[in-house]
Amino acid sequence: MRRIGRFIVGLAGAALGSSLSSPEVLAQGCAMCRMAVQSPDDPLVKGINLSVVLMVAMPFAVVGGIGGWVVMAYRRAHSRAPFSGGASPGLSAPGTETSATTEEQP
Amino acid sequence: MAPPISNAHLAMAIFIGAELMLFTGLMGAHVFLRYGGSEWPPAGQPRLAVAATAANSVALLLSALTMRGAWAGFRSGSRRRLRRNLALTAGLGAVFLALQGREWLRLVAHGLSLGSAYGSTFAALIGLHGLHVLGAVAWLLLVLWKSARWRYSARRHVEAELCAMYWMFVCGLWILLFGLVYLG
Repeated sequence: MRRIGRFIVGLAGAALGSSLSSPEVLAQGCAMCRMAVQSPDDPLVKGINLSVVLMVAMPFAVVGGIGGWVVMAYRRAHSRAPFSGGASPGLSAPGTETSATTEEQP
Repeated sequence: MAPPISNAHLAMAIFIGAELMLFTGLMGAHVFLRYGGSEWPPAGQPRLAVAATAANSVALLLSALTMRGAWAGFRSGSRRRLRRNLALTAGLGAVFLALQGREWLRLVAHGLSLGSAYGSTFAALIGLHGLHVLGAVAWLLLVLWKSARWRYSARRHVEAELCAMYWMFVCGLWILLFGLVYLG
């Protein structure tokens, strides 16, 4: 546990240290990209920008979607709890539904 | 009180999120190459068959509707409805795969080079999605086989619901991919 704590503190220190560096120093690792992005008429810039927007937006959409689904399910279960005594049948744990089995013979 | 979302459903949602991120990386590469280049498709490379693939997409979207019917079947415990809709879904998935396979053969015959940026991004995105559909059809057939052996009821059908979630993901992802690769 203590090792994990040290690792996290070290990681945070490294992140803080790199954020204090000047932009020129940080941009050295990606000199080609920097040169390309400095010319706004280049179609490569449009490609890089669109690609970055897509890849930045998607994690937010994924985490927001799953988080929103969980929150809505808990809210729905909470609002139904006093009346039905449980969650909605489709989202509850296996074996906890209350609907009857209407099995049809083939 | 039981949790409103079971661990299995949550795990499947996280798995689908991870899959979506995998596809996002590939979509990012495609967007970069598509809009970063001057000519797309490059000279000498075949054009994609948009109309035929749009018709094929209808089959996949119809399968989402039949899967919805199967979902209603799990919940009501109606085995006949479940089996009929699962079989229809698997059939439509197989039709989609067959038509996509035919389209691939046509593209390769017309000189699609998998070594080019155009061909490799197409193969990575559409091919990986095709593999996902293939896996989902196999899973559907397993669920269908189990439902024929009376393994599910209105109370016990978690595996079938997970399969339905995965199928919906595969169908929703295709809308994104079709818009990006064929219409973009």
